[in-house]
Amino acid sequence: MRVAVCCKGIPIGLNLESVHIAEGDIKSQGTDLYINEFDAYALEVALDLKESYGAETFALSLGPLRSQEVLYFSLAKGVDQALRVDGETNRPELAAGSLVQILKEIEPQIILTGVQSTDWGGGEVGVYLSQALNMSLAYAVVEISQISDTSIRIKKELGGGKIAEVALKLPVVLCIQSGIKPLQYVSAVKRKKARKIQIKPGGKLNLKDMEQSISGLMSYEFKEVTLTPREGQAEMLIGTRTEMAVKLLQIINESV
Amino acid sequence: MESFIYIEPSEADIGPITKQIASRIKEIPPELRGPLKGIAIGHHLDDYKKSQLAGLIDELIIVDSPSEYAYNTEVISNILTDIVGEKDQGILFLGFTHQGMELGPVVGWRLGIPVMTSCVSFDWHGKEAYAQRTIFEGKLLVTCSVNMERGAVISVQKGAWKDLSSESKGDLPLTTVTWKEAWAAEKTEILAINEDVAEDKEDITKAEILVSIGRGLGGPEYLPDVKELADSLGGMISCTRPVIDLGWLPSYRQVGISGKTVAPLIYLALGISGQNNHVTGMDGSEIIIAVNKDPSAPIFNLANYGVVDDILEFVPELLRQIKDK
Repeated sequence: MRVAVCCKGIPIGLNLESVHIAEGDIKSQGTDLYINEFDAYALEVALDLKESYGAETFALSLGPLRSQEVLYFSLAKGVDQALRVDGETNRPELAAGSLVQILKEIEPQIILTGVQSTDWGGGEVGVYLSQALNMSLAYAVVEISQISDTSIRIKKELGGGKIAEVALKLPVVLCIQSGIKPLQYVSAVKRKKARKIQIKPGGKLNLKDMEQSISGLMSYEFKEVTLTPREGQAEMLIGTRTEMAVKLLQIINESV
Repeated sequence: MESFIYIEPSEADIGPITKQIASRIKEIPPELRGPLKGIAIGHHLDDYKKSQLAGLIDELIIVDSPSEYAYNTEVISNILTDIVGEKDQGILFLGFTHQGMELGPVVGWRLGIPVMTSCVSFDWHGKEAYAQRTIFEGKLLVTCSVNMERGAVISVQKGAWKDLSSESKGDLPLTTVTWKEAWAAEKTEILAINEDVAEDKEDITKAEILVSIGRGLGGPEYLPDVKELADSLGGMISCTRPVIDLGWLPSYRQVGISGKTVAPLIYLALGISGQNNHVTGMDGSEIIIAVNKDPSAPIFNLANYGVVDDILEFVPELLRQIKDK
């Protein structure tokens, strides 16, 4: 069984000055990239499938050269191979489209993604991959209970505290919910060793190759990035800690 | 042009997100949006729920699907794709919920139309619409122009728009669509639906006061103080998703997209940054008080009152003040 896990590199600590729109995309200035927190849980699932089912595991990332850090991290955690698709985009349909070719070559039975990314805040890439590759799909997966040659049983959240137990035909895309497994610590020694493993080229993001298949999806343009308005800003309690505590309790007492 | 709203199954009433979307889209001139039609799949709408939709939408479409396909997103995607795709310019609106996050991109991909997820605003001008969505954990906002000429899928953050619905107004035209075998599931089978039941019978949706924690609490060793505070105020403890993921509290205490929706009198948010996934579950609270050491935390945009302080210092101070009284 082959398992591919998509790991997005996320910039941390951005502000309005470091984000801008260029070439039809949202660009961020060169900060370090860290694995998207939700993808880190998908990575844990991949490693669990390696241990439990002997799966051959592949970590994939779309990003510039600096996104290799995310793949070195995946290698240090224990994936068998890491591949980088060269390119940079915040458009989810482009990100998915750029991963399709390498995924066709790997032919995984299971593709794992995090349930969303912390920068874009959507969860489209895994869903788009399922459509592009004609695979089954489950979103917000919180448990994998059983895998056979042709099917998989999982549990997924429906929201509002409801959980569905679902059987899906393989191959499948699973968008993994956070907390499915505890995140395991990786030692500095393992991280250092991982840097000696080669990250393989997984192709390039090439809009012209994809234009025909996703041009309709791309019928939108980024216009402007602004700070989220603060017109609804809270009335801030000020003073010493004691004064703020007294005032807060007074607000509660007067309201109940 | 026709506009559609996917109506998710909900408990006693029509879900707030359906009412919020319908209220906003109804404000758009009919010559732009066309008729506004709700799509309910299965028979989860009783007469009471249908009456709540009168005046909010122009027509209700009920798809007569077999009960075993309830919550089967493969089947729901097939149906939505067919109904929305029947029109040259079908616009599908749905909530940015677990179902919406899965269904919206599937329908958009299959129909080859733009998909804009997690929208907080939407203005329609001729062939274009301007949608805004939050990025980078709610700190920034990106404005996008969406080409509406061939249709679009727009998912909307819960609470972004106001529910302007009032008492039922008149009849609601109803169309029943008969089941087609072509919609049947080929890849997905729902085996069971389970509810996460509270073991200690505390139901956070019924609390008047919620003392809610985020991972800013730092560790489970600080929970006793929070519990003492909640008890002293006559409230219950709730939390964000990461607190569940870290195993500090059981999942039935979670507020947000994947947890419960709450609307207490007082929501005391301790060490909660205010990410969309969480605030969509609590923004209906009467009074929101946020305590966070980061003065730029997005929670302060939503809260009525704010305190910039370290909760590990501030909570003991609150307890001292309560004891002194």
